Amino acid sequence: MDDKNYKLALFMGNEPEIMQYAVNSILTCNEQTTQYGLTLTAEQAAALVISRNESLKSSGRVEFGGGVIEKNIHAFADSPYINPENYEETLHRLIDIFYSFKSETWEAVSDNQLIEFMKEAFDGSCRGSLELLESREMALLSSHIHSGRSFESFSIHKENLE
Amino acid sequence: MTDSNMTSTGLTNFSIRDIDTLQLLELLTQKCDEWASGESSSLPVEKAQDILASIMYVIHLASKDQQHDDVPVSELFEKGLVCVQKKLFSCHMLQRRILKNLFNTPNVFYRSTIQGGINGFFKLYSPQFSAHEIHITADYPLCLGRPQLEGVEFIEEYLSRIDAENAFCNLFDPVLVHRLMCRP
Repeated sequence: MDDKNYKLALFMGNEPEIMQYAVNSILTCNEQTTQYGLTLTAEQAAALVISRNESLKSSGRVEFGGGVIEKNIHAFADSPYINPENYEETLHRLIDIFYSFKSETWEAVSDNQLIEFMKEAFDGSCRGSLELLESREMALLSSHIHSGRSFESFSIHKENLE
Repeated sequence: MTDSNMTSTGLTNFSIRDIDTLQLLELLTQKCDEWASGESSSLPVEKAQDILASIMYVIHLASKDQQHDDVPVSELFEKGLVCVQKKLFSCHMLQRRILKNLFNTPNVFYRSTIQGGINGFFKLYSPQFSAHEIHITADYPLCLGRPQLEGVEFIEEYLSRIDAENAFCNLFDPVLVHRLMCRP
């Protein structure tokens, strides 16, 4: 299945072939994350795909492109707050938080910008706390966007608050 | 999503079953990616539904002009966009003609709809992503009734009816017309 058909297939749900393609794609991330002592098994990768689909459903979204799970894996692999014991669970939470953030920020923030923001907050002000990332940081960012301001102006605005 | 939205534009020319679903979803995937400028891999379901309704509307216009059997969906869509552009041009011409000979009436909604309202439509209308939308309220109530159409077809018919009303009213003294309209 090539990338174009995979993107199309995301619209079509949990077909076995789509699942396998997604799992294989996630497993290729192990090549990069192994250096941090982090790896995923095929079962864990499949669980992440299912988790992603549930997060999409609960946040009222539909995915037409792929790669969100892989982007989160690559972005957070070097976090000092992620270790082999909490790796899988943290990824599940991060994916859920990602889609919540996308909806809360009214499509004003790109996937890459959002992942970068989440990583910076997770490693920085949240000190590895997913609860703070989800509640405090999301509230701050979404409030900023809802007031008509741009994502680019957010960090400046936050500095002014501090 | 696909079942409810494939029928949302009230298509009558052909059955949904006539459209190759895979090709349609491929086009939808492409349009969603374009809408997100390649920066997001997901959209709210409602937005994806809107884009799908827009695609179906454009294809519906193409199918009026030609036989659609075995024509690739992407080709039907491109032909549909050409139809949309032709209708937009027609709308511009109609508006220009009406404004050139606008009936002299104190009814503020008459001019504001034809000028401001229709200009608002031209500004907001997006054939690529919301071809089925009207975007404006079109407040002025037509003598011939509000067209039961969507998108650019609505505006074209709406302007045609205003054009007819305007031409008719111009045959009479504006003062007498106004007096008549104000009679209880």
